[in-house]
Amino acid sequence: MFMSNSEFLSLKLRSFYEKSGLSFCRVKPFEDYDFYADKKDFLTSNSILSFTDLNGKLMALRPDVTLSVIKRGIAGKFFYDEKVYRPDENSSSFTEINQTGVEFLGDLSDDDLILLVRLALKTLEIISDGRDFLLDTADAQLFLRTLDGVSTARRHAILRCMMRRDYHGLEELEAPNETVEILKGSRKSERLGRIIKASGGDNKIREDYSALMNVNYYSGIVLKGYIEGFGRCVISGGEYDGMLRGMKSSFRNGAGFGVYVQESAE
Amino acid sequence: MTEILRTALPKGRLGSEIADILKKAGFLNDSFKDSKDTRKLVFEDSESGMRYFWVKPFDVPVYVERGTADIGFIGKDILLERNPDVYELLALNIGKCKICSAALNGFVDDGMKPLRAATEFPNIARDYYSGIGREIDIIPIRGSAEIAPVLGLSDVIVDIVQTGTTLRENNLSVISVIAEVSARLIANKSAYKFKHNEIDELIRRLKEVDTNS
Repeated sequence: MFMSNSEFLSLKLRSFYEKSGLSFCRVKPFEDYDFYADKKDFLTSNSILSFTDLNGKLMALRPDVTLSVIKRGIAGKFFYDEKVYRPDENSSSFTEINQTGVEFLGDLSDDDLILLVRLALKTLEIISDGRDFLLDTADAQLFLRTLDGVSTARRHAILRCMMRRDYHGLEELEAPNETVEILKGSRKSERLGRIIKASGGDNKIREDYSALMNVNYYSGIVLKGYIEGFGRCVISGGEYDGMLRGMKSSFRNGAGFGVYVQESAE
Repeated sequence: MTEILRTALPKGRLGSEIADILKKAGFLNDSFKDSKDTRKLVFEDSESGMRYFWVKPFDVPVYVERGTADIGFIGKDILLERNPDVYELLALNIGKCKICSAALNGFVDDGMKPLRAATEFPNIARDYYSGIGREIDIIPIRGSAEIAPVLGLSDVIVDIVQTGTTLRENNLSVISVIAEVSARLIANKSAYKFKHNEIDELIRRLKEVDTNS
């Protein structure tokens, strides 16, 4: 029996995560529609694939795994290998995507973050299959500290320029100098520096603030992984304490990353 | 140059201006032909390590976002409209214009019903009018937007304005400037990680030429 590249990669990752001491986690393929509807800011798209259950209740096929893992309410270190359903940005239909990932939930320390970064680096090494790879990291708290007292709309506009490495846009917005210094790499996060050093990633990990995402949700260390020759990031995640607070979750800390196995197996 | 830079150029006037700057910066040789003079869509300049391809302006962000092109040149108007997940590394002093809303001279918006807006830029129009709390009915059109209010298809248009001559000749005037526009150099996020030396060198030389032009 033949396996596709993405199935083969999923198996390799599952084996690696098991050996690393993570517990396998399985979540339901669908949830109440409302569960996702009020967390749309966290999702990559506003469109959710919905259907009506036999009892007339509106349900949704999951667009994301992290939310479902949090909902289980179990603390620990997990990995998953699931399918998610998202709109295809270039067509008017939904598509099924294989997503493997890692989630840490509970009271997390910097040692846990170091482990997460090491897992992300090793994941990139496994799926890159000998090609060059790079893990970009950023500390959302360092960025937010430069924007104290700045309105939400302006903060959003500045964040957007950071994510695009758009210095011209930052100049037009008259963004604080400290923010520009962060993007240039002349101002760094001590905490992230310690985590990077302890992760042993050497030249495969960098502090780069274009990796920032929605800072209300990914409110701590952020991770984005790239493989040479692939047009998109293949790993995306970080600390999502902000999202847990937004969900009024009982967990104090949460961190993880998703691996876009299909992208990396193309 | 150690790595080939795959570069998407927009067909049309902006593409011709960009090709001129690339020639001045030493990234294109004289045998390169403008899109209007050839049907050949791919051109390689092995000396400078560049491979160019002509694509429709609206498609430049697609090629770059998906990584088929490492970099591309495009107007800010199309970036605002398509909102691709790419790096926006350099603003050039060419292709300067404005995105404006315009209406027939003397038009007064009484706010009683949704404003009918004809545009090639529905997302820009939606973002702008939603930002000022005005409900609109978008009428998507492809080019020659100025005729829409003249024929009664729309109340306003949201379109590119360069000199304003076409507006004046059709009895229209600008109501508001939505955004200032110029050409941008964009890069695929992943490509920039692994080819940043080549891309940064291109930016450095383009800045020299762009400033001196």
